[in-house]
Amino acid sequence: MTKYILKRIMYSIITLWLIATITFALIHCLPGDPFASAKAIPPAIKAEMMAKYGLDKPIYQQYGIYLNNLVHGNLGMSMRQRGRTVIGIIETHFPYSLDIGLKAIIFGTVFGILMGIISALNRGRKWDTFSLMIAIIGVSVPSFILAGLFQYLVIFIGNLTGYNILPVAGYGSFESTILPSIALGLFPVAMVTRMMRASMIEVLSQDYVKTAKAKGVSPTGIVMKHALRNSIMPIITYMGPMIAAIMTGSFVIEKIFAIPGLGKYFVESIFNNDYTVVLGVTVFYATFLTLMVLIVDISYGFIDPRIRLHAKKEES
Amino acid sequence: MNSKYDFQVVGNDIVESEKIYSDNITYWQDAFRRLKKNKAAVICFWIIVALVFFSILGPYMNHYSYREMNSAISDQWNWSVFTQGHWFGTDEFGRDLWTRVWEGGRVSFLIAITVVVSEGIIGSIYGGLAGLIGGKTDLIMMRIVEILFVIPPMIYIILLMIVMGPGINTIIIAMAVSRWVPMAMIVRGEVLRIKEYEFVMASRALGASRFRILMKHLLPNTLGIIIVRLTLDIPGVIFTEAFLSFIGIGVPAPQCSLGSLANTGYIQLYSAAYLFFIPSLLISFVTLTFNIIGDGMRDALDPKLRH
Repeated sequence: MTKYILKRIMYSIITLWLIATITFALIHCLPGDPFASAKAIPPAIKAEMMAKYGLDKPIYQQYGIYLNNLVHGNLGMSMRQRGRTVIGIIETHFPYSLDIGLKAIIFGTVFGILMGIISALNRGRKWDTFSLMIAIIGVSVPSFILAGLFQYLVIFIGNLTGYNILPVAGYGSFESTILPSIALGLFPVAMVTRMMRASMIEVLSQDYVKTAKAKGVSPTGIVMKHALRNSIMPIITYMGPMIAAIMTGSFVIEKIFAIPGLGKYFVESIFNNDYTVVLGVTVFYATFLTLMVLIVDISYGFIDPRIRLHAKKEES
Repeated sequence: MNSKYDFQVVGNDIVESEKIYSDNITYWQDAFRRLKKNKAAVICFWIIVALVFFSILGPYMNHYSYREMNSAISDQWNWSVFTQGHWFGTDEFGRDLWTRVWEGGRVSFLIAITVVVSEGIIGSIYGGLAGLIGGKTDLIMMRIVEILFVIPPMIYIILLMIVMGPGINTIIIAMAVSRWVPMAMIVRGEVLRIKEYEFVMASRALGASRFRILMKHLLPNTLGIIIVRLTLDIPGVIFTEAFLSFIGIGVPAPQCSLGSLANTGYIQLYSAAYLFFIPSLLISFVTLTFNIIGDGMRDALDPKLRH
């Protein structure tokens, strides 16, 4: 098990180094230099500015400084917003994204698992068709379309009845996070439902479920005690990609619902050509996701005894 | 009544009783037969055919071009534009939405198909070679793939888009670069499985080269799984393209894709909702039909799901 964990950690470190290097290479591929947009600068001043930001050094030295800064959590300054560090921007804006993202994840897993169980238990009946329909719609309709549709419906109902059910934009109360979380979470709901249904059907046909049935365990007991814990395994592997999907989905959702999160900020800095922010946030997102995948992988090893035994066999 | 599949008395003749009357059908014929039984998939297939037809010919069906503006309409817009030959109405510059939607659909289809084909080629060559050569080469190639697999694709697509500048070619390159990784893993797994079969061993015993084995035996036998995977990837590509265009780094104006149309339409959601809903409906429709066809093809082609 220790070997398995160490191996995973080593992979994650290599991944992070790779991301940092790709990012560095891409910065240097960008056309022009950072001061090209300003008015004509005298060569002497420009040389001084290059020296100040360390851009006059040979590229391998710049790379070393960059990696050193990254390790110390220094992502540089914003190029468009004077006096703001990239890390400061992340600190102010990321909590909003985290709030929406967590709610979407909870919504996605809880509803997905519930719908998956219901449809597996009622295979081929009305509820099964219903949840499969929700699942196929959730996979096929992009989140930004759902978001627009939700906003339109809420306003339409508001105009009709003179009463707004939910706020359509902004960030504040719990109610204002409902629509964004649903729009963001419907794709995970759909994926989890399909996976849960498939694995639940498989588990329900196993011999130990038949034994439990023969012993007289109630249907709820079978699902809760015997089937759920075994069929939930694929969902845990899906957690990594799900977090990635929700995080990238939030770029658009935050823009649509005017939530001051990191995703909206990221998209804005793409527009403003605020390269340092774009690259800093990219590295941050990549690190965050790599960590999440690492945690999921390790916890999977703890939860699933088969992986634990397999790792042990490899060690001995 | 007297179809050749019915039972008939043949008497005591041994040769006659052992004879196989039904035609041999190949794997692909069998898969196609299964697919035809799936009604939803067949309907979706014809919907896709219709959508492709419209995206090729739709822009020529009325006499407006996708970039032709009309300030007379955009200054004083009212519902009567729908009766003036603008079947889907006009956008904020008075451009005809019908033409733009199909023009956008064409761009989206073009991107989807190019990306999927190139990811299929890169992925199957990489995965096929890793699985075929095996040993240390396989180990190193798979470590690289595992590391790339962790990096979220959207992040480096966005970075590549910024470095290379917006445009259809950039989108295609950025997506193809990021999407072949899972493909390579699937192909490698299949190749490793099939490599051990007797017919491959027989071919090797007859002196076939590795390349010949790969091209003649391994890839054709993984083709079913590759095709299913690629069909199910098309919605993902259309999704990503729409997403990129929606955040504004996709196809540059005046060109349009379904995503960029939804994006510009969204700005006017409260005054002219059809500008948002028509392209959105089309995106959802395309992804929905491809998902259903892909599921149907998986059921028809995947031997593991057969009973």
